Amino acid sequence: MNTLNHGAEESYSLLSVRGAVTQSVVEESAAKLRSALSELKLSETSSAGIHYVFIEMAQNICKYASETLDGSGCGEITVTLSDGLCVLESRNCVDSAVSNHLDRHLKRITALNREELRRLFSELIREGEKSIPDGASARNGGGVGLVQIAQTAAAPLDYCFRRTGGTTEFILRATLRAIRMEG
Amino acid sequence: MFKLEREKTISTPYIMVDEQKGYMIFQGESFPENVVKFYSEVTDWIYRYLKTDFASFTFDCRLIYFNSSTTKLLLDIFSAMDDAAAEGKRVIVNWTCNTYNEIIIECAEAFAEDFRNMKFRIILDENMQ
Repeated sequence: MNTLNHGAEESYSLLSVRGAVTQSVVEESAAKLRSALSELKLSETSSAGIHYVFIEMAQNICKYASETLDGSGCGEITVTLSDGLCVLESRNCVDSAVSNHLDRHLKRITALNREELRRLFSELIREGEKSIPDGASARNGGGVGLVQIAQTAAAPLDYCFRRTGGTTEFILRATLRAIRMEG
Repeated sequence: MFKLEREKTISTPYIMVDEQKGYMIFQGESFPENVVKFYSEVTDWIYRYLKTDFASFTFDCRLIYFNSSTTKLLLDIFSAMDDAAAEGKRVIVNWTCNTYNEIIIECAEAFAEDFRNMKFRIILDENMQ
């Protein structure tokens, strides 16, 4: 795990987590991220958004892991700051049923505007995610978390699936505003 | 009379419940591994309590961050509180947000819009951390 490694001139690798993502790793990393964000003196809204998306991505890796055949929770999350934006990217393996579900769910999410996302979030949370197409992660709350990540992001979510051999890697990228506090 | 007090951790808030005073507070961050399990003692009590003839109940919500599973739990608690208020019981939510955290303020406003029977106050505090 690395924090605040200065990379290119205008780009900071703020945090990188790689390996088994357990709840204790989520907690430890979230504390490091909060401290790093505090040093950068970002606005309260920017810090809260980055913190929020990081934890949702990390806990989603934990959830998807419990649904893979071997139950392993390996994945990677990077948080990079560049030109007033913060890019959070998560990578983890998912089984084919989950990848199909995620693909359908994310296609739906990325087509929605802010108000439509707000309505979808409200609908999902009230209906216990019944309106998400069948999928293992929906039962564990992954669906609502993705909608909240999309609501927090400044641009539509980027995602892709890389299928190699018998495994599918799910890559999700959220771009948020990283505005510094005035004064 | 039910009474509960739990210290906060990195991923769970300070919780205090005092049935005698009709009072409950959550303060800090909430992203436990299993939200339902973590809050089960509170939810087991509150759903029973809200059906009784209590004089008044106040919930101080001072969460600075919570994950989507906690949002669902809060919605369920607010829903039960609002149902009790609809029966004429005195039910109050005081939700304190950092003045500059638009994400939490927006979330509190969305809840306030949905639950109109109980008194739902949004308090802005620029020093809240």
